[in-house]
Amino acid sequence: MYQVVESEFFMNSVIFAVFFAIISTEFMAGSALLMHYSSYGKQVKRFIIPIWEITGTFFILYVVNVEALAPGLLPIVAETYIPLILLFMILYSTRNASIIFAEFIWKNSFISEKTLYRIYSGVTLILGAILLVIYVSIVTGKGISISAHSFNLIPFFSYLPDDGIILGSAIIFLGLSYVFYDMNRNKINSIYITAAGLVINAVSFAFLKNFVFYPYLAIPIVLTILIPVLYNIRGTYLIAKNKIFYIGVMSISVAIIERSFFPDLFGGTVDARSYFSGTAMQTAMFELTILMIIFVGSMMIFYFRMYFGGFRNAIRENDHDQEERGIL
Amino acid sequence: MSIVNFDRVFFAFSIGSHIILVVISMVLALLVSIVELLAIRRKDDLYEKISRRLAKTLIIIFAIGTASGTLIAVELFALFPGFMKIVGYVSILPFYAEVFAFFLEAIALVMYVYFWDRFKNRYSHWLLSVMVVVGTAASAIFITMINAWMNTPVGFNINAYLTSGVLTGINPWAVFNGPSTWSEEFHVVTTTYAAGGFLMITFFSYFYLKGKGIARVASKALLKISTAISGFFIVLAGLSGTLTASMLIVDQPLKYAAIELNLHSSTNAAETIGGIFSHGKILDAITIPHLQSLLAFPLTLGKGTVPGLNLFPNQSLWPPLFIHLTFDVMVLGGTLIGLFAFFVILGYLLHKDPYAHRFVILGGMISGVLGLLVYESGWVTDEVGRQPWIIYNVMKVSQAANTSPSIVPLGIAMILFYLIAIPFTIYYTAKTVNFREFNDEPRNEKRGGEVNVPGR
Repeated sequence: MYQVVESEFFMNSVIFAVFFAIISTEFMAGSALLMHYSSYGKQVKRFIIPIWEITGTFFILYVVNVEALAPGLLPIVAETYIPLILLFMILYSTRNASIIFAEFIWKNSFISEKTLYRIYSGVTLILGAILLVIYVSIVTGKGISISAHSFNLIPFFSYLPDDGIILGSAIIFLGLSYVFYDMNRNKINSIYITAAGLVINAVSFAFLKNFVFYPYLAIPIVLTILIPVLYNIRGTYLIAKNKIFYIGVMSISVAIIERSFFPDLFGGTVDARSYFSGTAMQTAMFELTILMIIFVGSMMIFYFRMYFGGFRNAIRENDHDQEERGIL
Repeated sequence: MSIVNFDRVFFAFSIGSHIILVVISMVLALLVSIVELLAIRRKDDLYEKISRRLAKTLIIIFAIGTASGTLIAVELFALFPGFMKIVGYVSILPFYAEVFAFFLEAIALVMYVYFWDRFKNRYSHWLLSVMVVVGTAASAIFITMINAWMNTPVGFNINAYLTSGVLTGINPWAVFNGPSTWSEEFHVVTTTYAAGGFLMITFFSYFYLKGKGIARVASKALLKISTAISGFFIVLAGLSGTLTASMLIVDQPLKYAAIELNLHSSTNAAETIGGIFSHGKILDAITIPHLQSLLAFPLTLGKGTVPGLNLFPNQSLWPPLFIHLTFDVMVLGGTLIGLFAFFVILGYLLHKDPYAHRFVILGGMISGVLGLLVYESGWVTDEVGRQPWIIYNVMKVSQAANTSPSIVPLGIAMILFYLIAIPFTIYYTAKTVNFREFNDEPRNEKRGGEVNVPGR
């Protein structure tokens, strides 16, 4: 039974890692649209418009998977984080509404497309911050009272490693956004910014005693800095900005980080395994999760084939157009 | 109001709002698929234009519905963590399976809308719309399984749980085939399509009335298809309703007695229409002798015993008896819109043009509103009829609820959000449909519409 629980946790890690990697593309889109709307807005939207609905589905998958993996944890999480969860949901709905309205808004409307995209960007960044606050507090336990099922933001933010992880992560995604959305005017900045975020994160992690002796945490650091480095090398530029490459690398990094704190939750006061259901449900979930990975994986392969197929056609059409006009 | 009751009202409001979007998106998916198939088979540019326009509408509804659906999923564990804890141990598989359906719907719909012109074979593209229809229907089916399980719980040793509080004998697959699962599925799916079909009739009646030229032709074509959909499903809804009532007699006799306002069990029961329960008596009701027995046992021409409230002397476990009135609204309203659909379809069968008459158009405009009222009344009857239980005879709502006071201000904020978001979405969607633009466009619209990404 224990083995099945471990396998199910592994599955849950994979789902979380992929979900986080995919949703991070929206965090990056948010910063890109806020800072570089006029220069790069078109290429950011080209990626984000079709995929943002699928991103939301990954979120639901993760929530349901956690509900099945550790049903005993639900009352603690629900009661502890209820204000943040409800705020998250209001903002999540605003995110959906603003981006879909931005996409189809008519001319001469009382609100412009650009304003709606800015609302989407701002809200998405706040959503990212809330997610990080919840996850970091689950790891460090600062501000949490397990007995009272309450969460106080003041002690949480008073603890510097908490702030460091959130700030560091935000800076990392800012740096990576230059690569992911190919904002190539200041390519070299992507290395500096990502490196700065990694340093802040590494120092913050070092202060959390649980992480000091985990040598394999070097893997996500190396993988993350590799993305902007490859982007700045002419021969590997195309690999680095490839969407699948980023999602793969980021998923591996997140899964390793998540594994490093398992099974300790809330600063080591709770052993996650004690909340796992460990019943026949666990086996059923394991089987269904395998099916789910095959099913969703196949659908996503189909999706990206269509996406890149059309993208290549668009580039070809553009090249052809430029040839005709004597530009190429 | 206690926090438990606030949780009740908050969740009821959320799901009551959410199902409006569900109804629209399920029938819209079906409508888009039918219209595109007609466009392909008839090589008709107008149907092509309509299907593109409706697909755009569908993705807007889907986007808002996704947010709302996620909200419901999170609210369930945030407001009723005790309930979700048992679900997590015993019956969460349909939730998980629903995510499959959701992925199917999301990925297929995104490809359907955004990659429209990348499919050289039009039938391949159309197949995506079929996947969207399957995805939306499967989502509804899986989520209804959880509701059926709440009404008739299975998959664990209930007696052992009630005596010791420990969950034993867990069979995670039992939830897929509980005593009420398939009758409830049949009823929910058919009523959802029927209510959605009537809502479409309302929208397109309005567009037809206001439209000119090609916009009017497009609206009329959609009116015809929507009437066929709603007429077909309202018949099935009536049939499934009878089966559901028969199931209630066996599996939830208290709920049955409450919705029929039966004070006593009877072998020759009259149908009670209207009326309120006061001081042990029913006041102001109309009764039709023997009709209830006949409807409950149609195969034996009414031979059988219908349960009464007298079988359940503990009145604290009775559901609020106003559900008898919501039940009446459901049945009478459903009959009225069913007759409307019958009248219009009969007109078409006689090669007449029923929507040429202004009063039929007005009837069409009312039918969707009534259909939605019927649908919501049915849902209230089912949910309130299970009170005070969240899991029938196993767990009360008060045992499952989150009683943190911090729910209240954010809950109110969320209710306000719904009050703004739903009407605005409907307004925005109606504005996006705007068939009037067809009149300004050349008849042969070049494929490669405005929603294509990349290269749009």
